[in-house]
Formats: sequence, structure tokens, C-alpha cells
Amino acid sequence: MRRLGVACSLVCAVVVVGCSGAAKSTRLTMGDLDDTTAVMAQKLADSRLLADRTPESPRMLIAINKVENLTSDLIPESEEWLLMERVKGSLPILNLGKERNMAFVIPANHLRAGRKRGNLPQGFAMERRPTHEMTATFHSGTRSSRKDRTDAYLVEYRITDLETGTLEWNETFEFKRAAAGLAYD
Amino acid sequence: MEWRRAGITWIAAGAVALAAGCQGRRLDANLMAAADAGRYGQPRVALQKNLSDNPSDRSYILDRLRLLILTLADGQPDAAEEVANQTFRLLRTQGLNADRTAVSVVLNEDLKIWKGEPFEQALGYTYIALQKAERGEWDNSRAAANASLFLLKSFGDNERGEEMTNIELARRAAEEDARAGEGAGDRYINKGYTPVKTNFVLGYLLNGVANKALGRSDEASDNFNEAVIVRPELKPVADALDRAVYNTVLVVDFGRGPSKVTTGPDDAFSRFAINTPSDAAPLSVSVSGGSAPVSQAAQAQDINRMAASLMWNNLEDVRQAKSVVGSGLLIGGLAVAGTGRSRDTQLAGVGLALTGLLMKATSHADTRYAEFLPQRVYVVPVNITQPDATVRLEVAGVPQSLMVLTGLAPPDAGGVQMRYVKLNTSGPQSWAASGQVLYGNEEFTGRVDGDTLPYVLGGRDVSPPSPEAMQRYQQAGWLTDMTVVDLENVYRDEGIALSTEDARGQSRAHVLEGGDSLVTPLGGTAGYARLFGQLHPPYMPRSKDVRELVKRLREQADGSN
Repeated sequence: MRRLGVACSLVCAVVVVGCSGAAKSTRLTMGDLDDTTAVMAQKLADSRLLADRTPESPRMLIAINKVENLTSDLIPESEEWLLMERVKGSLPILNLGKERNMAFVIPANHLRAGRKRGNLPQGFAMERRPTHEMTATFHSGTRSSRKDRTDAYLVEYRITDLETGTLEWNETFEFKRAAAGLAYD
Repeated sequence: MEWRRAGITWIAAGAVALAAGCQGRRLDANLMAAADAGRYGQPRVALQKNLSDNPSDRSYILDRLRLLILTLADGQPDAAEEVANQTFRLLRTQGLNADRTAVSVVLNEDLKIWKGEPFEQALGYTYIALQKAERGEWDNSRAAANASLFLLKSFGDNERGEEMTNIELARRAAEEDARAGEGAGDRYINKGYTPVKTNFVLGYLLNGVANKALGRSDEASDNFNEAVIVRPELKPVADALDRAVYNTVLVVDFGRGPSKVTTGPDDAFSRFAINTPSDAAPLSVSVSGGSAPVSQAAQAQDINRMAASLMWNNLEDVRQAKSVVGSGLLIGGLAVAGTGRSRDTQLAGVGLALTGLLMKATSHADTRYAEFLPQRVYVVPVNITQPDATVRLEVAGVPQSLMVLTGLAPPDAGGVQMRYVKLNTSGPQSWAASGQVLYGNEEFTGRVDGDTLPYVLGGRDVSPPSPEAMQRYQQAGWLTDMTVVDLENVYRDEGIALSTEDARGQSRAHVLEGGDSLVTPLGGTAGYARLFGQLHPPYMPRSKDVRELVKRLREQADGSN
């Protein structure tokens, strides 16, 4: 009697277990990206590069490019742009625009794509002459064993003077993610 | 007593229902035949329609990998963006089946979410790398190619000095159990291997190409060197990729990859049965409108060999076989039934035996596999210097493999472009060898007979509406009372997607093949050659307005003749 119950339970457990699942990954999460852009926006707002500027400083026009992804994870192109746009569009940076006489211009890639599609007005962005470029690179290093994996991420944002090639600002941000479970399974 | 019988019946019915319900989705033979003949439109639309949004669906990854390969073969990398990202996300998830392992060992391995054998996973990553590269996302291509270069498990050689088979490994594990007690065999399977660097040449080459495109020359050279260490005959290709002048890389699939079948006692083991035999035939390459640094490219990857190697096997069938082939539960159950003193004990024994029988009957190796993988892959650099260039590809000694790629142009801004080409597996196809472009399209700068009127209005132009296309139509005397927006509305009336965004990022068939998409495939792909290298039946308008417009245009044509 008891054994029959055990047999029933075994099959029941097997059926229930067969319908559930849990998984882990060291991939970048939206939370990681949120943290990264928030930290970088604040670091840029607090930077010497901007602190030394006044409304009378020469106009700083910054072009952005999408993030360069040198991690072991995919960052979809839309997110690569988002990671730059969110730093650009963050509140501290917007407030500083007038006080520091700085502005951002449309990315060259977007301009090229718009012109190719033929949906930009005649003469659009003819006066676009960026003085600086903001870029970012995501790196990662991986350690893995049979059942565990850790990815350490290093994010670097930079602003470069396009005329002199001087690196005028750069900051890094690090975090790591760990996961357990058989990689092949 | 009655309920006991009912309990046993319930166990039996439950297990059988579970087994029946767990059959993986098999591909329709017609879809396979269509894909073999290079007609990718119909199968990819069918796959898109049946795609499950539930990541715990057992075929979630498999269906996406199938769709990814065919969408790339059809030259539509943008339409593959979502499935590529979703495939990567789950391939990179560890322990996806952790909660299903027990059930799969006891009952049926195909209860698990299909993640593929390690060689299928590595190839899955490379198709994602190709999709990213075709979109010009070389950084993401590098990430995906890197992911394909995971460590492999080596259990060493057998007594004959050859790599062990899965059945030999299971036997050794059973011997370990017998020698050192229950559990020793599992320990041997789980820990008795040496992690070794991968021999996945295709992954090294794609990683090298991506790094080269990113300007990371040292990392590129390292990867090309690794490829040559594994396959010395690839040195000319690797040297060309590392140093020669090229702006286009072709990754060329040929043949049908091996099919996964069950084998061994109780069909508990799996093996891959060869469809297209392996050989050493190189790929002949010639370019019109450019040059080929390597005219005879050696094979980069032989999938038959990968599939046959224990290192590229996840050993799940070995674990399952170890638990089933011994039939401990079955034997134990019958023993209890035979020796039990009470009717309860006997009945319980019969229950266990029945469960064991059912497990034995339903247990078998998982035979789901990625059907659209090739037998072999070539990687070929070419330098395209003129628009509308053509590239002729043919596997040496296999005339029916001939494909003439059309619509190739140098990449924008002096960069590097990637093209994935799937050569036909079955029979010669006239379009594959035609080398012609018979319909005007946005990837082709030359003129085509009939390109002065859109295909949907009776002509032979399938360019999306644009000022340039409109000018061409109007200069020929057509659509003189229409604007670009009017023409866009004609397409909208017909329910035709003008862009991948219009198609909500999904894989849809082209209007030339009876579909509802006007998205032009990438030049230099099999999809482009098939769509534009042969004539298609005239378009049948769906809306009343467009039918009337076509009628007016016919009357205009009759009046001018």
C-alpha cells in the first residue's frame, strides 16, 4: 500500500518537476545598465572637465557614438545607443548644458542613416561641427568552472577633443555577475 | 482494492500521456525538402508562425535556431535580430534544465528544453555571430563567436588509440560502478575528463574576422593562428583573412548535416547518422567585379566529424543509458512482486514493475536536432570593387552545388561586410546558376527590363517607394499623377510591409513568392539569387483600388501601343 503510494508520488513528482525550471546567467541585466548610466552621468556632471567651464567658455559640441561591446555578452545595437543617450539625457547633464555652454549633436551614424532613407529636410544638420566625441567601451573577463561562472565587467566612458585628440575625461565603473549551473545543460 | 487498480492504471496512463505529450516538434518533410532546394521563404514563414513565446517551451531554442539559419540563408539578417538575441539569451543560461534532469533520466530525455549537443550550441553561436556581422555589429559578432569557443571535455582514447565512443564511455562508467560501488560511474562521467581547448575552427575564424573588423589585429591574428593549428590546410585562407586585401567575407554552408538517431540497447544512446558524406573537396571561388585572394578554399569545419566526437557530445544519453540499460527498477520491481508475502506488497511490486516497464518503454535518447545545419562550412575572403559584382562558388567535383551570387557591392565607408551563403543540398536549381538579376531592386544599380513599373502594378521593379524609383517610373510615362506617398499607400492597401519594422521584425515571405514583404534580401546571398535570378508569376492584387489601378495601367499600355 505504502509502496504504491511511493510509486504514485514518484510519477507525480516527475510530472511536476518536468513542468518547472530555474536558470541563471552572467549576462548583463537592465539593472546593470541602469546603474552604469546613472553612475556615469553623475561622474560626468561632477567632472573637472565641466567644473572648469562657464557660460562664456568656448562652445563644446559633443557627438556621441554607440557603445563598443568587448564583453562576452551581446548588447543589442539599440541598447548600445541607449547607454549613451541616457548619459546624455540625464538630468544633471541637461541642467549643466547652459551653465557650461555645452550641447550634444546628432550622431553621425543617425545622420547618415537619415540621409540614406531620404527623410531628412534639405540642409539638415549642415552646421553640425562637433568639437568633442563621447565614446564608451564595455569589457569583460570570464572565469568558469564545471558548474560556476563569473563575469567581471569593466565599463569605460571617454570624452575626446576632436581637434587635438586629447582625452579630456574618462571614468570607469566595475561590477560582476556570477551564475551556477551546467553551461551545456 | 479498486482504487489500487485505479492507481496503477493512473500511473500507466500518466506516464504514457507524458511520453506522448513530450514528443518534440518534428519538422514537416515538405519544409525540409523546400529548404534542401533553397526555397527558404515557405519554411521560415511556417517556423515564424509556430514560434512559441514561452522560454520554457521545450523547442524554444531549437525553433529559433531553425528560423535563424533559414532567415540568414534568405539574406534577411534584420528579420533575424529578435530570434538571434533570444537564442543567445537561453544558450548562455546555465542549468536551464537543472530541474528537468531527474525527470529526463528517469523517463525521457526529450522532456528537457532543447539546448542541443555542444557542437550544435557552438554552431548556434556562430549563426548569431553571422547575423550580427551581416548587420555590421562586429562587436556583438565577436561576443557571439567568442561564446562558441568554450572548453571541451576529453575522456582520452580507447584501447585502439581512438577517441572513445559514448557506448564505450557508458561501459567504463558501469565498470567503475562495479569496481568502486554505486555512484563511481557517475563520478567518472562528471569528473573523469580533462578540459581541453576547443578545436572549433569556424569559431576561431569568425572571432578573428570580427576582431580584424574592429581593428584588434593582435587578437585577430591569434585566432587565425589557432585555426591553422587545428587545420593546417586552412593556412592560405587564414593568411588571407589576416593580411590580404579584402572587404567581404563569405561564410558558405554546404550539404545536409547529420541526423540524430537512437542506437544501442533500448535505444538509450544517440548517434548522428551521416546525410552528406565528408570529403576534402575545396570550394572554388571566382569574382567578377573584384578579386578572390584564395581561389580554392579548404573546408573550415566538418559537422559530421564534430557530431561523431565524444568531446562535442553532452553525454546526457550516457547518463540516461546508465540508469536505464541496467534496468534495476524493472528487475527490482519484478523481484518484489514475486517474493512479496502480502497482496499489498505484490501489488506494489507489480506497480513498480509497471512503472519500470513504462520507463523502459518511454526512455530513449533525445533525437531532436538542428536539421538545417550543414555538413561543412567554408570561409572565403573576397574583395568587391564594383557595384553589381558577382561571385561564383562551387564545391570542387559537385557541379550541382554551383551558385552565382549577384547584387554584391563594396561595403559603405570602406569597412568589411559579411555574407552567409547556403548552397543547395538537393539537385541543380536554375536560379542558382543564372547569375542574372531579373527584377529591379535597391541592391542592384543596373537596369532591368520592366523596372519602370512596380511589380505589384504589372512591372518588374521591387524597390521600396523612393524619389529615385518614382522618377524612374515617371520618366517612362507611368504613375505620372502619383507621389511617393501615394505609392506607399498602394503597398499599404495590399498589406505589404515596406521594411523589417513594418513586418514587426518578423520573417515574412517576399511579394515575388506570394508573400507580403518588399524587404530586399542582402545582395550576395542565396535568398537574393533565388528571388531575382528567376521569373515569378505576375502579382495578383488583393485590394479593389489596386486592381482598378492595374486595369487603368493596362489600358494606358494598350493605348500607347
